[in-house]
Amino acid sequence: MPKPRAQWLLAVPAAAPLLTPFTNRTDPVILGVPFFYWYQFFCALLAIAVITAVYLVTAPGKHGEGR
Amino acid sequence: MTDVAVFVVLMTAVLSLGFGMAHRRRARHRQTLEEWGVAGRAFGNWTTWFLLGGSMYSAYTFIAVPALTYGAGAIGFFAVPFAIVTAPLTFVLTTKIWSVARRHGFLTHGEFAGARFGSPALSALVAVTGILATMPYIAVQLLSLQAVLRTVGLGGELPLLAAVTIVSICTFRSGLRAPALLSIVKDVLLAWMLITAVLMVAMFGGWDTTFHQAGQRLPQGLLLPENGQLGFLTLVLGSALAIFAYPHALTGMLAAKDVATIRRNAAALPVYCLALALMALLGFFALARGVVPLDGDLNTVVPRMIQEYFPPWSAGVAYAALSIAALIPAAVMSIAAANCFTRSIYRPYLRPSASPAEEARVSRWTSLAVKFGAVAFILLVDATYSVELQLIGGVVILQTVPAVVLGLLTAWFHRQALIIGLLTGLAVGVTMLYNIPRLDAAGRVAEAHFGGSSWSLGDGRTIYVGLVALAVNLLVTVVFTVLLRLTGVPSGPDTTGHDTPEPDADDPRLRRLDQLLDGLPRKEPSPSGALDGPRP
Repeated sequence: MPKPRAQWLLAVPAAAPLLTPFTNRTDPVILGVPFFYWYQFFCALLAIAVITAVYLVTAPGKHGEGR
Repeated sequence: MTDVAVFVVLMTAVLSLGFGMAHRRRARHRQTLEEWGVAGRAFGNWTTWFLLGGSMYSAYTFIAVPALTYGAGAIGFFAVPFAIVTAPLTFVLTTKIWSVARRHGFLTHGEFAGARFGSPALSALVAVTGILATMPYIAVQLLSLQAVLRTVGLGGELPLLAAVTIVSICTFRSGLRAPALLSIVKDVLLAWMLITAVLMVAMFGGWDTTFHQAGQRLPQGLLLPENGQLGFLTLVLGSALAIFAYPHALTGMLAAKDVATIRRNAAALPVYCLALALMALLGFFALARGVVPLDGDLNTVVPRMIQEYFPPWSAGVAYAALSIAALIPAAVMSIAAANCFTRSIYRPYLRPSASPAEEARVSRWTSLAVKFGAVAFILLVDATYSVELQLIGGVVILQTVPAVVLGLLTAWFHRQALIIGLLTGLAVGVTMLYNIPRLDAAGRVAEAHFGGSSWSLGDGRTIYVGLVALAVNLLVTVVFTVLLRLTGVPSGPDTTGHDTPEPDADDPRLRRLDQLLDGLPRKEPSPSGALDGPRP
């Protein structure tokens, strides 16, 4: 069995893109792109990082769980 | 003309490649539905990643999302958070359904729901809902293809028919392997297109100028209006849940060879979100540069932008990328819809003794029928209908979420309650959609019905219809589950299971979850009979 607690970390990339009430703003602008838009690019990168981390922590040996 | 020449040469090359591979592969594999429909559940990391990218990030996405930011601004960007949210959900949910499906040989949501809640009727209902939602989805893919072909000057029916026919034959022969192969080529072409697009934006003033000019042309500016938050977030959540109920998304996932492959893919899928976000921003570029769509059809915004601002040979590559990106999901969706039919309707109701080879044969012909049904629909019936139907499809598929997504987490629901809830949700959703008027620029009612999926709350705020209908559906399901369990209503005569209400809910339920998710024998004669359903 994987370590189920690590899976709760997945809540971070799941919730981050939904924070639009706080991210609905223009500043700070990066490369001419308003915050509202580049924040979602950031969320995608965050999702890659967090899910990879959770995968590495939960992966037992060479086979996936549930077999 | 260079662009058209490059486009035609690339399309011919790619489609003959698919055709050739289909031919070569055919003899090597035993033709069962597992082989044809989910490629023997043998795809590794890369193939799965390309296939998922090919089937979920379709041409409709790459054409409709920029069209939406072009026309409506920030709200059109909803597709990006929606796509990101699906990744962590995939890590948790898809792993579960993959394990169950692998163990019992399931290919579709319907089979899972039927077995989980002991009801072939529920299985068939989920399958029919899935097919109904998928058909217009295929049609809009083909509409995107048509938009590209029209921009290139290959309008009319023949080029569209030719492209669909070739891909149909590939799919008919080699099943899911055909779109998997094509998606690899598609991603290479798409990467080329995105690099060209970034250079294009840089050459025409950069993002600074783009956003500045686009902001001036959008009446509400570049951000969400203050009262637009609810509509935006419900749309994101609804779409994210719907993805896990659409048959074609599952088909790609089930083709993965093990759980670890799915988890690695969940980590790598947000790469596609970056591509999608970039495409969405291109809508602002088109707006800033004043690109004018053909005949007011917003689907042609992206092809027109490519035509005007890409160097001709690069434009040819981009057209090919978009066209193949339309054909792949059409193929995967038709396979998924065909599997739904074969596994939840044909076998349980028409031919219970069907052999694996017969199943594969039925699915092949059904997939052909589905694809050409969609072609006939957009050629013979008004094309705008299929966009409306696609809208309805999204709301419709959401209603299977309690059975197929929540069903992964709990077996608590009563199957009759699920059926009643699903039907109620469908009725509520379609009624609400029917009553949404389409407003023109001046705010007058242009059409009385099916004007979008945002239900106005009266104070300027809107809410996504699908989520409202799903909430009603869930409420009805929960209330009826409680009622049915309290009154001890026996199961209906039309089912094969013996899913009687359980007085001591906790233990049997946990055992059933174990049976399904952790691999105890399937045909264990338990009093709950939870696993009696259409057998694989």
